[in-house]
Amino acid sequence: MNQKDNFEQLLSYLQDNPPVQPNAEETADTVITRIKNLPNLRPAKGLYFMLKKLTIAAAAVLIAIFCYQTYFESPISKNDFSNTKQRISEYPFAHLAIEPNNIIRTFLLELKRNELKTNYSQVIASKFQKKY
Amino acid sequence: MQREQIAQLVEKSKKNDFDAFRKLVCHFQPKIFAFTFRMICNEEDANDTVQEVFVKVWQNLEKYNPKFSFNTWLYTIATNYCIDFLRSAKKKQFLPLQEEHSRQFSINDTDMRLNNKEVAEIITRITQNLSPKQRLVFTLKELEGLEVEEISVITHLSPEKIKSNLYLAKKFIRQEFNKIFKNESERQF
Repeated sequence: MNQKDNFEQLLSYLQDNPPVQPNAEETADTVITRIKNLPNLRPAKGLYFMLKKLTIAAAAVLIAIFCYQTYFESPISKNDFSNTKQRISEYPFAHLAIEPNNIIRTFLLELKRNELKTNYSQVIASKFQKKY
Repeated sequence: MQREQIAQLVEKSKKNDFDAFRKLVCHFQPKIFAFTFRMICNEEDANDTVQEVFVKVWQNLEKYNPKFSFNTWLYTIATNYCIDFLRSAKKKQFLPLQEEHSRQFSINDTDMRLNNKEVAEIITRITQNLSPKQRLVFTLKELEGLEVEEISVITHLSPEKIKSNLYLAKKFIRQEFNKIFKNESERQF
């Protein structure tokens, strides 16, 4: 109990005796002088933030241009695969899988090619020849 | 000074009004000095820290959110400075305590010197075993009289952590205090 009292006494002593501070006016003068001598820190900071934002914006634009060039302006995206088998055979198979339609088209073309390879028409013709 | 007045001065200071900022410095200097002194226990360093805090405040006025108390924001900046100081002070080699104290009090006013020396010695003695966090929480709560919510904003600690740090700080201070009393009574008898 006595210990607690001593502790409480200590606390109240420290609370009641805040450190005596130097003159606030003097501190204010020193602070203002220092601030005035700062090399236009706040406008520079504004400029810094503006530059930062501009850099980010420029980076975003560059990334967008890069993406546009690599995807939309690439020969693959320019080509229309609806017309020809040749076009499809010109490009690697992996590139065709960009759009679902292309996958289906490629699949159908492959089927047709396989059909030609097996040459069913010849088989049928030979059968007919035998019959008739 | 009323909250509205402070807000007005802050707004003016944002527009590079030095007189308004001077008023703010004059108003808050005693509080911030008392806090930094209690944390650092060195008058010169505390004074330097107060100046640094206000310069930092000036530089970051744009970032101040008027929704929060200016007092709390000031304490937050001061706290960061004090914690940095205490951390760097740990790395430095200090002079022996008595030599240090005789060096630091250079103000002519004898009463002021005695008072500050006493306060610094007591705080240094009782808080020597505390971590910077415990010391900070103890100073803010018990000596500065701030509420737990405010301390939470300043220190970014949860109320539970603040309470546990405060509990430990008080425990260590009691132990230290008890030791001092034992030593004193042994000397007397």
